[in-house]
Amino acid sequence: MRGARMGRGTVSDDAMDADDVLTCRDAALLVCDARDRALVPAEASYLGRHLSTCAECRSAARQFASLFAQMDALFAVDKPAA
Amino acid sequence: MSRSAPVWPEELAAHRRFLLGLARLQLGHGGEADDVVQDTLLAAAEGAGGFSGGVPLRAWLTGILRHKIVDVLRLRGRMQPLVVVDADGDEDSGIAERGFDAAGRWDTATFEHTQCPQSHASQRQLLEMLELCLHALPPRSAQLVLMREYLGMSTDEIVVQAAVTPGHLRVLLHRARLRLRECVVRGWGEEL
Repeated sequence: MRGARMGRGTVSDDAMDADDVLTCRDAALLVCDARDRALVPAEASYLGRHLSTCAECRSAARQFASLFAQMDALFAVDKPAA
Repeated sequence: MSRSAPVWPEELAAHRRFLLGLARLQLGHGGEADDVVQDTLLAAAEGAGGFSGGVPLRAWLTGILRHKIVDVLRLRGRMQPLVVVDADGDEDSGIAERGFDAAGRWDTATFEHTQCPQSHASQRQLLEMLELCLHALPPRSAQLVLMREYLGMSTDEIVVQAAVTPGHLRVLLHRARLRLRECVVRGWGEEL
């Protein structure tokens, strides 16, 4: 299947320009992406910067963390010891 | 092996509803879901000597069920894509926009800051609430989320199994997680 339509607001490689800043929508996407893959350094940097300035995104990141922990519990996922 | 309905020890029967819910989310409402749950409970009943009690019974059962579901999907997957996602398949596209304003910021008027209640006494209620939220997802979204979160398939594997592009899978998983967040946060707010 060709032509993945990524939808508005999805962070693409083009968004990682120095001039761009993340929107909250982008930040939420990266927080969820981090569940599936390691963020590249640029993404992690942009996300960290955005979180430091945005109270809603900080709350949302904590809420996602709780959600993910609950899914691990519900699905009896063994997590490797930290 | 006889397929007549056995009488389960009360303990196992108590978990059957939960297991059947998971199996149906992943496999649909056909007989396969019933079969994997029955096979799981049979395996548990027969193998109870192997259950040391080191983990909660439900966690043990959930793990057995996972392997049986994966086996079914492996068989199915040889014939056809596991989840048919339309090229246009914007199942529940509204969620990605709901909550954000036109500039892509969280709408502070509607944003809920409520965090998860911390008391251990409510852990069971929290997981029951999450279960309800999973069942409230659109069906294909639920299947994809479970493939990732329950079966532990990598996104690369899901791309192959579900015949969906990586970009589309990313969007679908994200929308499902946004929807789950919204659902559980609302529930946390009502718990307090």
